[in-house]
Amino acid sequence: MTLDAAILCAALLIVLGVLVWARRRAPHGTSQERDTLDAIGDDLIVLQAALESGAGGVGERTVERMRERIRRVKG
Amino acid sequence: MFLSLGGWPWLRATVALLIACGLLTRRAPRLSGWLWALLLASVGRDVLKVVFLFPCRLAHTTIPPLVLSADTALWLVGPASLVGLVWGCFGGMGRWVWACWVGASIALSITCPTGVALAQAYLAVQLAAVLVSAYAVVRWLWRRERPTTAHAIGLLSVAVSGAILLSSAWRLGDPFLRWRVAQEMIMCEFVIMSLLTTRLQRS
Repeated sequence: MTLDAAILCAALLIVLGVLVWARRRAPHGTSQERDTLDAIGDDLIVLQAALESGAGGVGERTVERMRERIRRVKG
Repeated sequence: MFLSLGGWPWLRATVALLIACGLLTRRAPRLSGWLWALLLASVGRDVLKVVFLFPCRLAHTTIPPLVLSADTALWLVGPASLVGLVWGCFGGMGRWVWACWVGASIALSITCPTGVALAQAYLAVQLAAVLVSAYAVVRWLWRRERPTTAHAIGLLSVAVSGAILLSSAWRLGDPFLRWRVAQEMIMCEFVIMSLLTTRLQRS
């Protein structure tokens, strides 16, 4: 009986541990916010590549698109 | 009769399951179906025991094969409801669980194992159910999502089923040897689940 109680307590402790660990491990914000931020990150990479290649037109359009996304995220 | 069904531990577990079913129906009807299935199957097995199994044993007559098949199918609802509930909490899978339940019920009805073979078959099913449920948890952890109350309910179900498996079937090779201990663990599970359900957002 004592062993069974110990097994049950261990199982419940594992549940608590997994929940706490998952909470600490998960990134903050809702999944929608994270998706938008990921998209902005992708745009930044595109912008950097466009600026480095000297294609001014492409860079401006990308900057505009990024500003729009940032406005949407800020609400 | 009351003691043969499992006595007070059995009654406490059934009442705790009934309360959890009621609360979950109000908060998450989609998930509550699995618990209701478990409750109905459990009550169905008790009815079978009272109407057929105990009288046959007392009279030393053979139990009709159809009754044995029905008992096995009802027992298999337990592991099926565990997988369905856990996968429901962590997202995905539904019809496949019932398809597996039908398949396993037919397979066990055809092969009709008894004694040690039946205990081993039940142990295999329990082990498979816990492993498939645990896979849903691992998949969820891999996605790095923030835990919710539904996730806590799913985790609790996997953990308690794992504990029951370890304390009886896995250690002793027979899922029915520690039936009363399992009932106490089930009661703990559904009391905690009921408390968690009050925190669950309506879906």
